[in-house]
Amino acid sequence: MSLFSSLNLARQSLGAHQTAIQTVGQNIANANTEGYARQRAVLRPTAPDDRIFAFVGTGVEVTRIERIVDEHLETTLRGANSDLGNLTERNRVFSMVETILSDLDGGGLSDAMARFFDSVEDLANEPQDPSVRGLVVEEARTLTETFHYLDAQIRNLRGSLNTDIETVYADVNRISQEIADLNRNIGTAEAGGVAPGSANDLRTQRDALLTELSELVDVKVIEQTNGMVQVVTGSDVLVVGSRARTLEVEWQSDGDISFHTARFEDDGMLLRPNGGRLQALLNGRDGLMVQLRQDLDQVAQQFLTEFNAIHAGGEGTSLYTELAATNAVTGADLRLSEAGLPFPIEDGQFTFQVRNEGDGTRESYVIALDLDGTDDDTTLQDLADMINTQVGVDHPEISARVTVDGHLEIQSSDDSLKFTFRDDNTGALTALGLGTLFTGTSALNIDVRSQLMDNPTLLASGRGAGSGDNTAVLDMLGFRDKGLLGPDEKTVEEFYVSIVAQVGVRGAEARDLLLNQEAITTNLQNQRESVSGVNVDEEAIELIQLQRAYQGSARFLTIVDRLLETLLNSV
Amino acid sequence: MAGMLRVTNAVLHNSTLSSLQDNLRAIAEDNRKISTGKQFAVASDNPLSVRRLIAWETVIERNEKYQSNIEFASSRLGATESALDQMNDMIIRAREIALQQINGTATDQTRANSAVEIDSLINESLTLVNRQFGDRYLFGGTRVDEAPFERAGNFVAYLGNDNEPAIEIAPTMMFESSISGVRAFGGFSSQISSASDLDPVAVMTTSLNMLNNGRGVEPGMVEIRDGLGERMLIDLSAAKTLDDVVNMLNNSGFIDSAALLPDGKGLQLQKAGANLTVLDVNGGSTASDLGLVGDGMGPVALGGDVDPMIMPITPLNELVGGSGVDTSGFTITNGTLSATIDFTSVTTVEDLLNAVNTSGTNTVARLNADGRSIEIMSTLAGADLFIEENGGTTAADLGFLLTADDTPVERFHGGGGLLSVPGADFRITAADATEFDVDVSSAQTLGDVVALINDNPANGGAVVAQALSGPLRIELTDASGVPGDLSVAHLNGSFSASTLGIDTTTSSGSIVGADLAPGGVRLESVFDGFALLYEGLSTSDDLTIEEAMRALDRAETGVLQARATVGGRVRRLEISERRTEIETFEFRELMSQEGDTDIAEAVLEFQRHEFVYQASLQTSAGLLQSTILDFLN
Repeated sequence: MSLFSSLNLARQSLGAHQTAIQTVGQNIANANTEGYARQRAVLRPTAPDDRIFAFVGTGVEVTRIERIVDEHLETTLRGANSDLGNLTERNRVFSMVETILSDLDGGGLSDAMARFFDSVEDLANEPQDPSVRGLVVEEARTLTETFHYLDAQIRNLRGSLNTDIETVYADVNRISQEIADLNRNIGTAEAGGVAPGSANDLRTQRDALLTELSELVDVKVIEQTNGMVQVVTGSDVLVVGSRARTLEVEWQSDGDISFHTARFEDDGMLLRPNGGRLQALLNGRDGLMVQLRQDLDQVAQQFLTEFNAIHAGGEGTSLYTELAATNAVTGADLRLSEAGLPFPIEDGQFTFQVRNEGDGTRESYVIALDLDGTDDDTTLQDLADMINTQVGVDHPEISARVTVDGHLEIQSSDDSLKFTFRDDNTGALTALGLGTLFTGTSALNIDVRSQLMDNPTLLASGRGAGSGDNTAVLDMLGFRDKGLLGPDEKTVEEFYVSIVAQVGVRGAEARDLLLNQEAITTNLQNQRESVSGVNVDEEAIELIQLQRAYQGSARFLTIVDRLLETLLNSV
Repeated sequence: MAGMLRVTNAVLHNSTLSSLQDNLRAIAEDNRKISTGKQFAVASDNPLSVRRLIAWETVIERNEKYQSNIEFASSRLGATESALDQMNDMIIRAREIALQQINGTATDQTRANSAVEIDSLINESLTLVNRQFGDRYLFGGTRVDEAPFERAGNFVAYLGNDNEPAIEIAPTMMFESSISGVRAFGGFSSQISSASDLDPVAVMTTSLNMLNNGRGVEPGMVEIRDGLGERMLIDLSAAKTLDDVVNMLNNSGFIDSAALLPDGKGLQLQKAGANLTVLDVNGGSTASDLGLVGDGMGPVALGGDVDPMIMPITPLNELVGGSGVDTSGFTITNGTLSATIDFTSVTTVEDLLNAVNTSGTNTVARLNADGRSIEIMSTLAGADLFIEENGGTTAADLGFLLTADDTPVERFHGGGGLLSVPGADFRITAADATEFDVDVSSAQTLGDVVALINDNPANGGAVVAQALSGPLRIELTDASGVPGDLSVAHLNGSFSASTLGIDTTTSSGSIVGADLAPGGVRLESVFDGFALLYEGLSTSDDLTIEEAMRALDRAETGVLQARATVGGRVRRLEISERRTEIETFEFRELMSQEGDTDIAEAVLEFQRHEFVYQASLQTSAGLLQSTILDFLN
């Protein structure tokens, strides 16, 4: 023990406090850094000098700089972050869908359906009035355009979700890579006897990335003894050691939109997250949007099948001299039930009726379709032949043919011989699109048959009892109150409202959950802040304390120096 | 808990930010509620309420449409009512003229003058019945684009139909908003129709829904037992034609064969050695609808008659149980119009209907409502419709000819009728002094007259009456077996005996009445009355004027009945209108309660949120400023 060792003690003390002051400075500097955990210099007395009779203290040293972090809280917070990202996204998806479906202020599908039915009511009142017929056709067009609009909006939304998903995939790749890089650096830094966890700032960076990642996907973090972390999402490993498993993004198409999917480059498996924004986006794109389009198609198909069947078996104030089927068969010699028609067609018959405009007489011809699955099943060519032989015998002016592209065409070369159809129990007229009101098969392509737009007198309203006959119109109106959809037999309007309401219920649920999750996350963040956050006032007090200790050590040095001086002077 | 936590600058910062956000959000929501007046903007604001609101909104919108339908129907019925009232006035005027001209002071000249007045009345009434509402004729049924009534000389033809189109005045509630010319003024005569079921046979291609006179076959299963302990359920629900049924039964493999009977009446099942029993399954009626139900029918089960209904395309040779009808054709005479329906190009029922409808005789032929027979009606008021053979038996095969017994008494003597009086009309005395009085006022047909004589309790078989045809007459035969006179004498001033031509005394044992010269089927309409009156006045014929008065009475009853029908419909409309109004009002109330913003409450909320917002802005501004560093030096 000597005065020199006291000098040494002072030196160590000054050094240690300088480090501690630097740490405070670092804390204050990062007071606003997101994810930063405050640090403390851990001071420890140096080993005592035991060469004499008693242990004499030799000073202080900084053993390590400690990050004040509650690992359990960090894990919980990452989970909460995933949930928050997930719910935020889910809520956003639902509110966008709600904006599309918004039916409260008119202009939506409910409104278009109501207006169409209203015009049909007018037609029931005045079936002979050409202007009312024009109105019905126009309202039917508005209805089909509304279907197109909604379908396009849902597709667009699906597309924009896909863009988001693509971005998330890129972010996941980037973050995984950065975490893998940091893993390597931390492993290197903490190797070789350095206290584990001492690569503080690298760890802070890594924690921030993990937090960022947890917002995108659910994240499970397993720390290894070498300081590296393994990152798992769903049941897939994203990062192991210093290697990130890269995702390969590929284009796929489901018929009408293209979308991205991500597979791991190494084993080609799909990435399947259990949480975070990505899962909500995927659910929206592949679940809700698909479901919505199906529901919308179902509504459109109800109009297609019901209205078309009634329309094809009725007639307007004028009858056809020419009629082309709007749906084609894949082959004129294929049995009709297997000829690629969009709606079912079965064994049975329909009536082909010829009206002589001169004397008002009608002749009926029963066209029987054999579709019981045996050898002699009816083909489209057979159907055309039947019309030609049965009707053609009496009226050679009327002829049917199958066009090269598989459409049935019926024509009367005599303007005073017109034709119409009745009593179809086969579904053939709807399936072939003969004399229907709408064409198409879904919300995407439902349209008013163009012949009716050109000539609304062809719009079917009655069944041949004069221009005031509105029996077909009444059947169409009957469709409005017919419970056809779903297990609880909703009418088409009720069904649509229930779609809107269901989106509303799930949207409201998403919003409530989001509000809850925001509160939970805020609370957890506050807890984390209270453990790891920087309070500048605290740091200032710490600084004062360290300053005073530094000043004390300096004064101690001065005094030891004086002692030495005294000693030297006495020599 | 908060007290235990360290509070850091970031916590202060975050919580300030988030509470500012909360406050702003609340203020924005208050603002939306006040400015739109609506509680909810999207379904998720309150899914249950919003769903209710949309449902109510739909009801209200539909009610508005129904309301306008009701107004439309109501003004159309109003126009109908006024036309009927005016027609009634014209009938009363015609009756007055008839009364004036039937009494003793009338001369040929006054009658001729009145005939002119009736002529113009006919023209006036034509304008009335051809009244338009908007661009459609009121009284043409569903034939609305051409005038339904047309004058042809003394006759008036009806070109419309008897449909009364309905409109919707409440969900699924249909309402006939007009009445046809048939109901209002008499557009169709009573029908000359097939006397009975024309009984078409079934063929393999016959649709099941044509069977049982159009009632069809309930889709379902049948159970067949072979009486040997085996049984099988066969699902016939997908069958559409008899062919399908036969195939399905044959394909089941349970029986040896199933086939349509050669007479086309029904089906036949066979299984050798079996004792077949056919049952319906689970309360269904498929087997009975197909005429197959039977217990212990042996190895061959003969089904019952499946009774297909007549379709336009039914060939005439499938009628009358497959024996078909004669192809000589028949003649139609309607007033001065006549035509022969030639069967050379007529093979189906539809061909027949077309041939009659285009024969230019102002007749309408159609299938009757139950699909069992064909009916022909006159649409020409004032004319007599006759259908006669064209040298064969076609009219009889189709049941268009009346038997002597079935001839209605009002057609006697071209529509003169039986002219009976209250009380007994004539007294018959037989050779054995059997004497009885006959009251024919209840007789509808010649057969009834015959029955009234034969079944008279005092007759006791002494006198036998019989209807003769060609020419139509009645014959009385003394069957008492004693020589002497058979005599008929009229009673109470009745003309019935002389109308029948039997008011005589004979010792020959039989009285053959006069030719009853039956008139044809007449369209009993307003115009029939007018036409008869015109004819009676211009020919100065008392009997015709009296007949015209009876026709006018009937026409007046018809118009008044139509008027009552319209009145009833107007009342139905009013009730429906009231109901719709009340419903709309109530739903509006509900919608307002559920969906509208309570402005006072919303404004108070807005002020409260604004106050909190300002307060939090002030405190956070103060809080975030201070730090201990400011005090260090």
